[in-house]
Amino acid sequence: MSEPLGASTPPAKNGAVTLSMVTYFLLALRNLTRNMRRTVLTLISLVVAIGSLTFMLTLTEGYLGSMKDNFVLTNFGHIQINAPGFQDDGLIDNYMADTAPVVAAAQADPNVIASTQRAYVSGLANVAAASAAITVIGVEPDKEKAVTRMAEFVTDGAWLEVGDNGGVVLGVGVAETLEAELGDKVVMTTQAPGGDFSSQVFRVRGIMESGTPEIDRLMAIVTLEAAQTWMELGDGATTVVLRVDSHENTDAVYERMLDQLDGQQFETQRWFDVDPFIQQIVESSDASIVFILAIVVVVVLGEIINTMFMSLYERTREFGLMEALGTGRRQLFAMLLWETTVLVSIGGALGYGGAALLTAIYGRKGIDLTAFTESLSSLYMDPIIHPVMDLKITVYILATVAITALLAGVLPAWRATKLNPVEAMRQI
Amino acid sequence: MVEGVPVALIETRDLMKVYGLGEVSIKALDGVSLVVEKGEFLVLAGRSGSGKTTLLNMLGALDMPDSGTVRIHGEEYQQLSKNKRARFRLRHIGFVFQAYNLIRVLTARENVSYVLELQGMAKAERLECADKWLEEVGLGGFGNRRPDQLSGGQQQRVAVARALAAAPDIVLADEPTANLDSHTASELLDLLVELNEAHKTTFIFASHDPGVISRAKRLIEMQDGRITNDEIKG
Repeated sequence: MSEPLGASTPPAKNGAVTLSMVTYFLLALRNLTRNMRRTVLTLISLVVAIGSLTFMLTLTEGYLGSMKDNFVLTNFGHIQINAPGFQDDGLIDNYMADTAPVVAAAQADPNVIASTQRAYVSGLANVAAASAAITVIGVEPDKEKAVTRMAEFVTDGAWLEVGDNGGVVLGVGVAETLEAELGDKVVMTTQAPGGDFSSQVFRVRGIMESGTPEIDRLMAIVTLEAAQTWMELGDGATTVVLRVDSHENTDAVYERMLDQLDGQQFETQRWFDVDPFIQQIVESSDASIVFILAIVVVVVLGEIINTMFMSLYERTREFGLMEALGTGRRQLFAMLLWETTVLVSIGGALGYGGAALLTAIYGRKGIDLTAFTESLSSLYMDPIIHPVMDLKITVYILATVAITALLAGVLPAWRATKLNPVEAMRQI
Repeated sequence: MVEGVPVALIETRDLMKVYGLGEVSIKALDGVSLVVEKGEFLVLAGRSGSGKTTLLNMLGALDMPDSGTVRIHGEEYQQLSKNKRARFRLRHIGFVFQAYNLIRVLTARENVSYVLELQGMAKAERLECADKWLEEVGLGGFGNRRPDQLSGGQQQRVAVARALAAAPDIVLADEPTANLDSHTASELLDLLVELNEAHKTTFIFASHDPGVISRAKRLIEMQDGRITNDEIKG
């Protein structure tokens, strides 16, 4: 009889008990295919759970993103700078006589892509037979186009030209109340700083519909130059509006503005400081996502723990054999944990992949919710939602998969380490 | 342990093991003392319930005595943790069980190589070692077959290859022929005798199969947890 290798070259007996990752992976994969039907059923539930969760997150991200964009780009901008107190009382007395430091700081900021000045004042609009409460906004027509979408909302007529100091663009609600049409004369009365009333005649150049009722019912837009002359503001304005290159950079720009501008003279606010409604929706949406996430994890967890325990009981004898052969507790624990991880990873990857595919398709095409246009527009939501996949969602899903695998794997794995090899091998 | 005095491979003293079955308690081992030297081909014989499997489990560090000691190479395992006992088995003991001996999802080659990997042997070396031992037990060319593609006799041969590849001091075999037909059982026993003679590996069997008993070089008969006869057969 020849001398086999194992007899002449005994293996390293340094006390190390080790299995490679390849072996763990191989064992996990093959053990999962042992009961194919059970594995496939578990995978289906995983794919459905992770897939629908991912797609729901991309939808939420899509509509929240559109809400924030719409809110900011309809009118507010990302950051507004006013004279102190103006945002609270809206009185024209609180206007900024010199906006040059603000405009200079905005233009110098690397994340500010555009800025414009406005003059806000409340007033009354009259035509021969009707009157309406209005908010007059004096704008820089060309710069406003770079900061908000207001010019795009004109549905009838045209946006104001630079130097057209006799023209006005009315919100559709104001126009309806006044029964005003393009070319009609409208007399607008406001209070200038100091309290004197002052009236001015404008001709309707355009009618705009933003989809946001409170804007459409109140807006009367004139040029800043006209407003400055009418209200005797000189070169002043009530507000400087900044557009930032992304929502994520808003806080950084806000901090820089606070650093550079004198707090006694200027008050700087982010869009959600001015109107926290949308931000509250975003935050409550984050909370509900975590809640839904927790429910999905618990449901999926139950399914996987059940599968892993069935697998453990079917293979009790084999675990006993492995232990008898010298497999340590840590190795047995790792084996079960690997099996769960491989199962959850496959389910997670397929679910995530499916949702990513749906997101790619509907991200371009959009999901049409025009049947709900009215209720959506008051929330600044587009009637067509484009789901968006981003890093945050990927991290959410990865974390869900990892937590699920870990939680589902630990209990059966721990149970495996408690087996007595002699008793385990008696099991059929 | 006294320095200079040769140490027996296995030495047990007054092993006791009692199992409780409801109100009744059964003495599975009742004061078993035994010395086994390297290279022996020993059969523990006796009827069902005589205590041979319990003794084999004690010798294999799979079960713990209620009292008494087991020394293998002068080392007592009773004080070791579960993990250290597993490591102890890995270093010293190979097993061939009655049935369901192999890991079902691994091929014959992988089954043999599994314990070598646990011992820390490099991949190329352990695969070569596994192939040589499969060749040695007459299963060259069967390395890529899974257990369900092998006959009962072939599966037992793979288990023998796995037990010996790890270069253990002792191979323990519990009724290794119980599930085999007489021809296959005889072939397996011939192989085990050959391996014992070629490598001086110690084999201890627990069996009541006359075929196994007839090949014993030392026969220990047991009854009611006690050794009733210890005979060298030459």
